[in-house]
Amino acid sequence: MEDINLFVPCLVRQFLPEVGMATVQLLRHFGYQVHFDPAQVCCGQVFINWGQLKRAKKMARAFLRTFEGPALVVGPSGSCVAAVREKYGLLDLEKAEFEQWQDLRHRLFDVLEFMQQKGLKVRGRLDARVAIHRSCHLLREIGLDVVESDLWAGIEGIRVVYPEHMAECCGFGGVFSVKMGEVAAGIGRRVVQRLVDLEPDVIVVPDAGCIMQVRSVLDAMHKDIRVLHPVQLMLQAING
Amino acid sequence: MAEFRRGAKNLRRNAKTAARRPELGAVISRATDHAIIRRREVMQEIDFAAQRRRIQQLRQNATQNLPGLLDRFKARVEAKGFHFHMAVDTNAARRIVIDVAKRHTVQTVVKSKSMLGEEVGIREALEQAGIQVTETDLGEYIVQLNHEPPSHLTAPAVHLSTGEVGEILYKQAGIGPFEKPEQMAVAVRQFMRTRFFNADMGMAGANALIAETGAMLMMSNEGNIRLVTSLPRLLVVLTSVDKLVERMADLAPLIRVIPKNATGQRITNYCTVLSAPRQGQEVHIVVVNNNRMAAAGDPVFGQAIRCVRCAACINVCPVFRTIGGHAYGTVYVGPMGIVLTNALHLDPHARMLSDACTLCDACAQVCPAGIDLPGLILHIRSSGNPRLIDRFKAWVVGMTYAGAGRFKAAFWALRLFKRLFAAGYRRLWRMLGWTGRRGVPRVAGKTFDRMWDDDAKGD
Amino acid sequence: MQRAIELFWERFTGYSGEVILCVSLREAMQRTVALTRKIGTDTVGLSRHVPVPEALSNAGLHVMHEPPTQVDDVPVVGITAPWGLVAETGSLVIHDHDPGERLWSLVCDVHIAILDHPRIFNDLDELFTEDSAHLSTGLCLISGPSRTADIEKKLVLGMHGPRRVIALIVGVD
Repeated sequence: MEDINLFVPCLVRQFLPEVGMATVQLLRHFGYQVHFDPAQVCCGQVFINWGQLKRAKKMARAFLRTFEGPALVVGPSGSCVAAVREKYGLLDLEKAEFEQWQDLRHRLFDVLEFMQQKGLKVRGRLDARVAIHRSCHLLREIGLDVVESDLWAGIEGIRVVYPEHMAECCGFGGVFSVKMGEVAAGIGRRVVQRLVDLEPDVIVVPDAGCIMQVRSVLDAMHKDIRVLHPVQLMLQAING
Repeated sequence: MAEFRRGAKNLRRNAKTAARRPELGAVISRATDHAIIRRREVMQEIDFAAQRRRIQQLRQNATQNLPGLLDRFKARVEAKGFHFHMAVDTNAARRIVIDVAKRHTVQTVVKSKSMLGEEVGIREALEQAGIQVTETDLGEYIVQLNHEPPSHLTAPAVHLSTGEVGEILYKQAGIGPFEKPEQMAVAVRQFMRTRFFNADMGMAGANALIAETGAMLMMSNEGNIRLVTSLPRLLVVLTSVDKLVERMADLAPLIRVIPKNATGQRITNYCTVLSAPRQGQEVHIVVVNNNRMAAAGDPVFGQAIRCVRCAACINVCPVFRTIGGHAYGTVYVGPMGIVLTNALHLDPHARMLSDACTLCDACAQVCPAGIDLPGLILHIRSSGNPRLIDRFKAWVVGMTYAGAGRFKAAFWALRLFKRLFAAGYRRLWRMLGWTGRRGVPRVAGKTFDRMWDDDAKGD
Repeated sequence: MQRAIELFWERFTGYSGEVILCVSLREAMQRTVALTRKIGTDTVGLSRHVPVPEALSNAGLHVMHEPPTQVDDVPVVGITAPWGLVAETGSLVIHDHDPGERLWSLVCDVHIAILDHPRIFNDLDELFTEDSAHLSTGLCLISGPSRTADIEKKLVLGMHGPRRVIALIVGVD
């Protein structure tokens, strides 16, 4: 059994632990041995996003230490994974850290991306109309389109719908959501309304920050629609 | 005009006000959706990635060689009988244009839409000099009547509904009252014709300046640019140094991609290559610098000067689609506006514009010049001194995140706080800045760590 | 060439232009007269590049060459002779530096373009790498009637320029 070190993004750990557990169960389902090191805290994306590169660098150092090789590192967040892979370059890392980073970049994956690359297929059944929000960083930085991907191919009964004309940001944007809260909420309302208009049974959102945002907007709209990460939905399908 | 363009300083307040008007976001996102859908359709006709490489390359060649191209362009146009003027900045540009107008005792000007005209405030400058200026582009004319700046590069009146436009035309120009866009357009055409025929001077911008031949590319759908450049005996072309390209061959990808990217149109209806002054016409070409030459050499911002002003990045920007263009308080808006305003130092508070971005990357995907807009916005965010409040927030989060122990303790406290003070918990999020019509994030009753441990025990 | 004409046709008409293929210049001139009469006028603005102008005056049309000095004198129909077309973009290529070509393709309600054995460019790259005089004297690509979508993206034809553009093409079949 291959070992996987679990990367649990801070928001998942404190706000959406069920997403983390679903990731664990799904990876186990595919036969991986999953490990979790509670010493991990944050990849530093929040500070990069903030423009606070010195603080980000501290976080990055700790992150690189936590996930020193050689095991694969998998986590449920395209956004955090993309930040580590693509944005650590902004942090002016020292040579040893830079090498650690180069090593980590190639064995760090978002869980959905990991499934795609390994050809791991979920087989099961789920009778539901599922509206998908394509989270920006997974789509544009990792390059995984949750709609177009064959992640759903083995699930019978599922009907996937999505806003076709564009994959618009939900308005979360990390610190944007607390810097320009009203605008974040405004974007959220427009984008979530389009998901609601698709009359789904479930809304699927593949990143923790986006899940928080979509849920918050649905709360204010008094809409009682479940918002799940794809791994949660897949697990439901497997368990029938 | 006074209440607009007060500068980037007021961005947060303006954005908040705009976001509280969902009808504004509805009109803008409807209009920009239209462009996005059509863009996707028409892009199937070409290989966007390949064309983007060509444009990036030709724009890069040009921006890295601006002084040389400028000299060649100047020599070419002067040899053909154009009058050439170089304007170092806004004031120089205004002075040159007004001098030309005064020398010919110009009283009326017909003008086509140009962002550079907005940047140097040429209409206002001419009006202050007692000259009547008519914006001839329909959308631009509407916002001129409404005493406001355009809210979008290619669709200046995108923030107004048909009903609002009808009211503005009727109240400000006595046209109508009409309900349908067709009626309004026909009436404006009639009204504007007289202005075209009687104007003393025409004013246009240019989409590209070709160094090799001294020609200028001008694109318009309405035909107003052709009228502006054809009918008056005196013509001023107000343009900027970053419009330079080297060769005629460079026009092909620009003409091919810009309209598709901007509005989803295959080609702009009239693409004119103006190569020499027309019979009996005096033409002045005013090339404005306004920091462009310096910015082109900047290791970070140099790439921003490649921008071809197609506005596709604006159409896909979730922030623009929600607050519109006016809230930025600057001439250039949306992702390219954030970057250009900083690169050209057009606003003392330009850095604050970088707040208006969710880093969603949608803009980078559509940019035909391959500009890393989110990367540059992130660069702007991380340079200079952030606001005290942001530094404080970052410090708080930084302390919380400084180690696994603190991290757990802090969220343990938050969880306890939530249990004890439900209303206070909500208020805490609002204080942190999680505002607007949203619920607040719900900290989980059980952390992942607990679930993991429970799971291990259960095994 | 067949393919290029088809593409031009599809794209020019797709943007509300009108195309009529004519077997001879004679037919093109006859059709021009018929179109003008059908539009309900007998005055046309005429570019000096249009071949056999006498065909129009002989048919009883009143021909204007010089630019009108005031708005009311603008005829309803303007006739020009574009020298080329671009298939990729569905565009007429007009000699823009010529006052008649420019004016009569611009100010009238209806623009009739007579293309007698036009140069055919498959795409914009062919047009702009072409090393000939037209690049130094200026050109205009016209891809249909004047248009605007400035009011809530609603398309309106005939904004400042012609409402109709009719291309009569001779010698391409």
